[in-house]
Amino acid sequence: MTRLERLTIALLWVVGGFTFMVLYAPALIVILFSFFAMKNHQIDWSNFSLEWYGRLADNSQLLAALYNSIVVGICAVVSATIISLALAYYMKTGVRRGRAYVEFIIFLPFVLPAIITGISLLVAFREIGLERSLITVTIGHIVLILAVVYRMVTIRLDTLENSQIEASLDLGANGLETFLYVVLPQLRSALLTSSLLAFALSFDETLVTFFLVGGETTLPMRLWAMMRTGFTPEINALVSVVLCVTLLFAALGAMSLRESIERKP
Amino acid sequence: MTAALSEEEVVRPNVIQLVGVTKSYRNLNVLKPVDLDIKDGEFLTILGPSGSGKTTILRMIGGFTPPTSGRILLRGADISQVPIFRRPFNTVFQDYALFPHMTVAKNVAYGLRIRRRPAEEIKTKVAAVLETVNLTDKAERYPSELSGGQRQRVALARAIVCEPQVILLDEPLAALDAELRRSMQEFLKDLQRRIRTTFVFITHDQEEAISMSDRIAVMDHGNLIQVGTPQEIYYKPRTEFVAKFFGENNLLPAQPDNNAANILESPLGKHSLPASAKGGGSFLLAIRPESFSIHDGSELRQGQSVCVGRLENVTFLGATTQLSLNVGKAQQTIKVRVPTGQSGNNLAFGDDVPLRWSEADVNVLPRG
Repeated sequence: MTRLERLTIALLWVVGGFTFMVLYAPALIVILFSFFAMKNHQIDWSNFSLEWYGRLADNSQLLAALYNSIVVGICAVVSATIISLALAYYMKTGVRRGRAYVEFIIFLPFVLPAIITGISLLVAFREIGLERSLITVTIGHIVLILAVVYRMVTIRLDTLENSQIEASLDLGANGLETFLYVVLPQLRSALLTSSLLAFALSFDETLVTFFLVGGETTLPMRLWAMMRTGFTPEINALVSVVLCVTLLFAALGAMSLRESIERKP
Repeated sequence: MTAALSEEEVVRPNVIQLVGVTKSYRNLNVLKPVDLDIKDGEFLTILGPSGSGKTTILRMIGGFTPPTSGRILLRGADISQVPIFRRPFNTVFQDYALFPHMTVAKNVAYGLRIRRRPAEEIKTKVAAVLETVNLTDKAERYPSELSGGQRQRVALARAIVCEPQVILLDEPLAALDAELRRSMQEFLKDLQRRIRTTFVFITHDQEEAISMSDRIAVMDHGNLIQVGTPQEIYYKPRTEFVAKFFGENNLLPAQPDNNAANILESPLGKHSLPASAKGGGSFLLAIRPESFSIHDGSELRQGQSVCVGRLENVTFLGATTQLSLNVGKAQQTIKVRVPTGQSGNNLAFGDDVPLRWSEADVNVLPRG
């Protein structure tokens, strides 16, 4: 290794390290804050405690919002995945007219300003007399994340050679068996990855949710409301918990993605 | 030998019959009406250049593509409307189409598992078939861990384990290198003899077709041009395309004689016009280079003719030597292949070489 190369690598480390610091330092600070008491906007380092976590456990409003967010996320992801799978497989097995138009419509809410999507849905729901509730929120989230899930499913499905489906039919399997034994197993990691991503999108969605939320609220909306009345330290505890769980899921997703890449011929 | 073969052919029933089958996409006729009988237990090769419609025929038999018109019969019963998964055929795909998420054993077992065969039976059959294709030690590997030739054999094993009535092979050797190809050709032929199943084999490689097949169906531009044994296709071509498609051939222009309607005139001399080649206009004569021999002056047998050619070139090919000679008034060049010992070493360029051939080896073809 020449001196120049060594210098370049060192420089890259510095730049990379700085980037990571900018990205993750705020999160680390929040985690730190969650373990220490605050005095006059200063951390009291002498006072390590799990007090905020305890208070979080007692904050029923915050926990209810977290629970709502999780329920909405899971419902939206499951629905979007089923719709995407059915639609993508239908498009795959045969020449379908209007495929481009259908896909354009699916992607549209993802690129449209969220305010437009939100207002449109609000107007539509009011027209059909659907009260604002977690159900309307879930529908809004489905509309948004469908683009992501459908995209990821079709990308994986497109790499699946048609001859594999034909081979399965040729060996005596009907359409359903072919889907269950040949197509679905090969989509497993794509579905897992897209579900994680879509859940993350749903979990912190605020703009569209803002227009659709009813009496029961989601976590980001709750936090937003709390910010206005005053910041309480149990939010730090909550954010830390959410961050750790997210990291865990991200790691799982990365692992499953790597496994699927290695398996591919 | 020939008589025995044709007798056997009479006894063999048809397993598949294509009756007036066509395929068109919008206004494009991919396949003109095709009638083809596939006999039980034969190795039939459908041969043609790319775009000739050979794969379309295979896909229609397999059920992947519906015919635009015509019927496909399986032992007399129309199966044109039967879906892929109910047809008793199995296909070896050009890209093998192995399931990447299953081991070799699971791939092979797939057809039997779908048919809900008992686990014990699946196990025995898969083991037996893997033994047949020499892949017993690779049973627990994934397709991505195998070489091209091994994948090819897995695809074959997966097709034969279901004991189909016909095995359809869509250019299965196209992706293999030359040496592997040759050994797979022998393997396939040998396998077909052992399991006595009808093979319908697609290829664009003439040598492959000639060396492996019981019968060859030659296709071009969506037309089925000629069906016959490799010997018939090679020595008795019925069209110019077939005559040119297989190996070296001499194609000579021939005109009807002005005085006698049933006599043709060519650079080689006069020939009687066979009853099958009707119609006026000009014809082509096809005669193989090896059908000529150097005339040694001995007495001609019935149906043999002689002409003289001027030697232009001599090419040593090993066991045979190829001579290029100019014949007739138009100095038409013909190629003659003789055993190297027979050519003699005393031939010089410009020499007049007497050639002998049998009229039976001359094929009169319509020109065009």
